[in-house]
Formats: sequence, C-alpha cells, structure tokens
Amino acid sequence: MKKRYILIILFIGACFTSCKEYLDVKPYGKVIPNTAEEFSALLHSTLQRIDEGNEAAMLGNCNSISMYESFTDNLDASLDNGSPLAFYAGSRLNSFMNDYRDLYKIVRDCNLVIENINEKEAQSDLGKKVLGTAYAMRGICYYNLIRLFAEPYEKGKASSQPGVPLVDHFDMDEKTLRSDLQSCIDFIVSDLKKAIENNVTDNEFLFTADVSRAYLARTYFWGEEWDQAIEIADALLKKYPMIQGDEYVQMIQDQYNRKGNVLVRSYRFSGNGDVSYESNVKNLQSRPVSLDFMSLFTEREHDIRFNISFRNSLTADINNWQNRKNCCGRVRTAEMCLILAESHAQLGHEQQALTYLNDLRSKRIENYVPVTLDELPAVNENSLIQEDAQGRPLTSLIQSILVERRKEYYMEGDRWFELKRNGRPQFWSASDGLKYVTQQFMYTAPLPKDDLIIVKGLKQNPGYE
Amino acid sequence: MKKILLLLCIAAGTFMTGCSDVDELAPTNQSLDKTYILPQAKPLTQQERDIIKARRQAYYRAIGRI
Repeated sequence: MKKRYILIILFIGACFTSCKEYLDVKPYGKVIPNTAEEFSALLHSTLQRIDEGNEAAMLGNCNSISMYESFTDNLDASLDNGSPLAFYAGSRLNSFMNDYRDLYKIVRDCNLVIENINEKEAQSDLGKKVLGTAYAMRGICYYNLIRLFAEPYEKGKASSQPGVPLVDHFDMDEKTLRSDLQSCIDFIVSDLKKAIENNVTDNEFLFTADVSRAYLARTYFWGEEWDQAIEIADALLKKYPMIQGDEYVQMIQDQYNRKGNVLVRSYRFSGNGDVSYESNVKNLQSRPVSLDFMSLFTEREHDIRFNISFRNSLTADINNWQNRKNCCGRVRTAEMCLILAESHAQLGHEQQALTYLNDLRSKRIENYVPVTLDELPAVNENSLIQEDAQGRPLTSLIQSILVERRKEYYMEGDRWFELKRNGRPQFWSASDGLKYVTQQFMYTAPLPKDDLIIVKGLKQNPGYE
Repeated sequence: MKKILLLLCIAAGTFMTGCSDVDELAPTNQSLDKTYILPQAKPLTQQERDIIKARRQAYYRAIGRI
C-alpha cells in the first residue's frame, strides 16, 4: 500500500514538473547561424533555385513568364490549339497566393540574416556580400509583392493606397497589417540603397550592386519618381550600353548563359528546371501570337526582334506565328533605355525621350532612319492601352515608347505589368464557346484567405470579398 | 473511500498540468475553401463568334492552311 501511495505521489510530482518547453523547436542536427558563411546558406537555397530555373516568384522562370504572357494580348488565347496555358488572368489568380507565400519565405530568410549577423561578421568580405545580397533580395521581393498584390501607384494617393504587410524582422507571433503603398515604395528604396552600399560584385550571389541599381530604377519608375529613375537608369545604361546584331541574338537566345548586358537571369544551369522549360517551350507552340502584336512589327524581318521572336531559324519560315524567343527571367539594360524614354516623356522632355527611343530602334532595325516627333504614328484607338501611367490620354510619343517596350520585352513577362501600369484595360478571350473577361480588379491578385483569417484587420483587395 | 480520494488526487494532478494557453492553437477556419470564386463566363454572342472566326481565318491564311 505504501508503495502504491509513493508511486502515485511520484506520478503527480512528475506531472507538475513536466517540461514547459517540450514543444519548443530545437535545432537538433542543424546549425544556428553565427558566421557569415552560415548566414549565406540561408540565401543560397533561393539562389540555387533561381540558377536551376525553379524559382517562379522573385526573378521568374519559363513557367511563370509563359503564364504572364499567356493571359495578355501578346498571344491569342482564343485561337489556342489545346495547350495547358492559361487563357485569361482569372484562371491563375488563385495561384498567385503561392507567389505571396514564396516571396515572404524569402523575406523571412533575409530578415534572419539582416537581424542576426553580428557587426564583426558583417564587416568581413563575405559578410558584406551576404548582407548586401539579403538587402537586395528583400527589396526585390517587396517590389514583386507590390506589383502583384497592390493596385498601380497613383501619385498623390499612394499614402492611402493599400500596400503589403512590411515585415522587417523575424517574429513568429507577429501579425502584420498592410502598410500603405508609399511606405512600401520607401522601404524598397531603402533596402536597395543599403544593398548598393554593400557593393556586392560577386556574380555568384546574383544580386550584385548593379542589379540593385536596376531594381531601384524600376522601383522609382513604378512609383512615378521620374527624375530619380532617370538618374539611376542613365548611369546604368552608360555602364552597360545596348548591344545589337549577332551579339544581341546570342544574349537573348542563350538557354543558360548570362551574356551581353544581362545583369541577372534565371536558369543558368541544366538540372531540375529542364523538364519544366521544355514543357513550356512546347506549350507556347500551341498558342499563336496575336495578329495585333505581329502588326506592330512594321519593318518585319528587318527588325531583329521579329526574327528571333517568330522566325523559324531552320526554315526561315516567318508565317507560322509561333513563339521562338527564349523564355527566362532576366534584367537587362535595354529596359533602362525605355525607362529613360518614358520618364523624359512624362516630364515633358520630348526631344530627350525621342532620342532614347531612336537609340533603341537603331540597335534593332536595319538601316534605321531616326523619326521626328511629327512622324510618330497617331494614337491607335483600337489598342488596349489608351491612357498612360498617370491616367492621362496617350500621346503619340508615349504610345511609340510603349509599343517599343512591348516588342523589346515580348516573352519576358513584362506585358501584364505594363497593362496594369497603364490603365488596367478590360479585354476578353474565348475558350470552349465561353467569353472570359479580364476585369480591372483581376490585375491585383488576392491576398491568401488563410492570412485574412489569422491576421484580424488584414484587408483584402477589392473584387474578392 | 481511499480509492475515491486516490482517483480525485490523480484527476486533480492531471487538471493542474493541463495546457495553460489554449489560444496557442490557430483559429479554426469557417470554411475549408481557400480559393476565390471568379465571375462566371458567359456564352459568346454571334458577333463575338464572328470576330474569333475572322481572326482564325486570318491566322490560317498567314500560315498557309487556306
């Protein structure tokens, strides 16, 4: 009997002394980062996925780029020959919630590096690379988040436009609400500037100081800070001038190598991404290019972009209307030329804008004769974009710049965001006898439902109530 | 009586060591559905069918099928 009582008392005692931290996560077999090398491992998992062509949300791969192209007016979804490509944005809106999660996972890793790397490690060569890369990646993730999940920037209203939750430190219990769009832009600019200060030049880290500068120009451009965009884009374009001819063709069509003035690109190594790449290349063959887009190439085969985008290099057949352009996520400096052209045009500097427009066209069109302002074609009332980024009616100059951008950045995932930036026009495509309309609210993706439930007060974008 | 007291002690001990923070669990979802329902597509009108047909014919002419 005594033994029984002793056992019971021991049992009750054991219950009272049970481990409070029993369910806490412990790093058995894993390292809590301490050195710069250990912190770099947090970033290298994402960098490796980019190199293998498996990362879709941050820089993009063939899968994500072809998705963005498939529901724009560059390809004619209504004439599709049975490909699995999306036929309108609505069919992919729910999948953007995966991008939201993926981007915030990268933000989390970057926050762990930025918050925890100690001063001594941060001053070492490797430490500066790791810290600079972390700031760059975080800034770029937030840039992608606002482009996908926030409405287009409106000057004067950005402080009241909803942005995305800004998470700048790791805290599992924190439930962050959305910041306004202007605060998001300022945060991205701050991160990219810190990345530039760390001056990463090692291309193994992908997001070098020049890549950060390119994204800074893009952020200023998206945020309609035309003067700031001009300053950064001009410096980058001078450092990495545009190329032409065979060099341009090799730069665009190389499946793996970063060539010419490409600052960063995805899919540098053959590996896990090969199957997805081949599959998307094949899918794109079943989706004809839109007649509206083809007709923009008035110089036809004298425009090098026409040849690499649609012309079959084996048969020289130019009539099959199928995509031939290599598809991967990349940042290259022709975009800086277009940013300069449009920024000058938005500021009313028409001659300067025209100079940059002619400069780009001269590198792409054989025997090019520069055009004057009077020779620019009138605004096409049948085209989808009828207003510029500031909501003003299109001018011939801005229309010409947007057309050049569409031709230059075909199959690089740019068109969707250009449609978003310039008025979010409504258009339709057909599939199986039904009409699917890309409505204005669809240009802004929905926040994940899980987050709305867990975070009280987190507001959803309009159209998804 | 002793058995009852014993059982009561064991029960008391079990209750006292129970989870103090029941809010540690995530809130339950009202619905399992995590996707958004988008506007329903409508059948094409004859005019819209004619537009698609014209585009298809232009495409076939361009690639030499007609």
